[in-house]
Amino acid sequence: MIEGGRSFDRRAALHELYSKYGGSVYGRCHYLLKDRSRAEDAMQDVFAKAMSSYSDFRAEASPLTWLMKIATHHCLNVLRGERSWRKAFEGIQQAKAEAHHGPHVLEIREVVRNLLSRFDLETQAAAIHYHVDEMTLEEVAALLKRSVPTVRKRLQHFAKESGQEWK
Amino acid sequence: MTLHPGELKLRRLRVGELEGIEARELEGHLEHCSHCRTRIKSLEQEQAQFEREISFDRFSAGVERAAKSVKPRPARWFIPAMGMAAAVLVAIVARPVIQSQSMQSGTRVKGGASVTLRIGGTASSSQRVASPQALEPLIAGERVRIGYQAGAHRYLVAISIDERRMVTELYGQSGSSLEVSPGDDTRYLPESLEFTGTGLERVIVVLSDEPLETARVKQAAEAAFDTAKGDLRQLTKLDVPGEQFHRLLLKP
Repeated sequence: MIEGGRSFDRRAALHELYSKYGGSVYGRCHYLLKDRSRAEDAMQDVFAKAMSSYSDFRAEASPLTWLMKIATHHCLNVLRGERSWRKAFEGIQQAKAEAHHGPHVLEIREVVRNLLSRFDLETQAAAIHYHVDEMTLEEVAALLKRSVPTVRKRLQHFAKESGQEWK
Repeated sequence: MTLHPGELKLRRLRVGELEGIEARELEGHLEHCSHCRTRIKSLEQEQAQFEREISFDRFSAGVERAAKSVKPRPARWFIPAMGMAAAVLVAIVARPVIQSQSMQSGTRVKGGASVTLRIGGTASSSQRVASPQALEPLIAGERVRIGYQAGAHRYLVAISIDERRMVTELYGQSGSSLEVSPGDDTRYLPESLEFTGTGLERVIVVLSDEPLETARVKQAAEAAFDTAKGDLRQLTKLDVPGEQFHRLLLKP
């Protein structure tokens, strides 16, 4: 099931993943799932995928970018499958109000997170990579294997629906 | 837009993924930008906090546990030289022949849903359909491909469980069901699977109206396994919503 061989030091590989990427991946999972236990489970799934094809993973131009993409996609799917999803986002209007008019301005990453449930999976991923990872349009398009106009359109849709001014 | 580098770029610099001009430019920026130095520092703190919260041993054990449920690497479906012709033959032959064993749960009965396991992949054996009623012996090297008629259902998850109680996610999407198109035409899931090891392996496909968490289906399979006292022949339907299709394979 898992690749391995005499020359493959599995424990060393795991330690590299832990020390280089653990914080980033766990942070992304916690940001989306808002629960430490579930974030840890999700993180383990993401790294298990990396370990299942470790040589391919290492050959990625940016292993970190790959991991963040997989983590984002994985967590969005976890959220999509939850019945509590809608309930979790009952505070959307409140969040928007606070973000734009309230005394306690929420960070953009929190606004993005709170609005995700309104959008399809690809728009969710595009919004996270653009607003949270602060990738450029071109980088997001390349990561999601979509054209720049397509990604721009999705981000414009996200901005319009969430009441943001497009920048 | 800001002139500061994006967060992901800073993360990549921190883990040593940037090289050459890109790295030098960013490092030059950091020398003069206290804001970005603070951002880098916060990323380091994030890693430190992670390591305080989750030890390496705990991380390692968790990843290894999760790795056991990563689906086996799919092997290419064996369609020899007459690939397209064989595929057409599958489409024509499969539908009238296959009567799937359906274990329905819930109050609604969906029409038209079924599942087909096609077996093939060795030069010495012809392709065949796994029997819904009987044990289906596999020859060494044979591969299994799963076809389905979704009927009115929109989601599919496929798992298998072996005699050691190990559950493997065969088809799903990042911890949840795979979204499929409703319809009465037979569609095949991508790639084919070769089951390793020996003994019995029960393949279970669940078609449902709502996405199911794979973890929930796995737990239900383990519970059914325990109820059947480890006898895969006696394993009954899983306690999950949707329509279930079971096939029992005997690995060589």
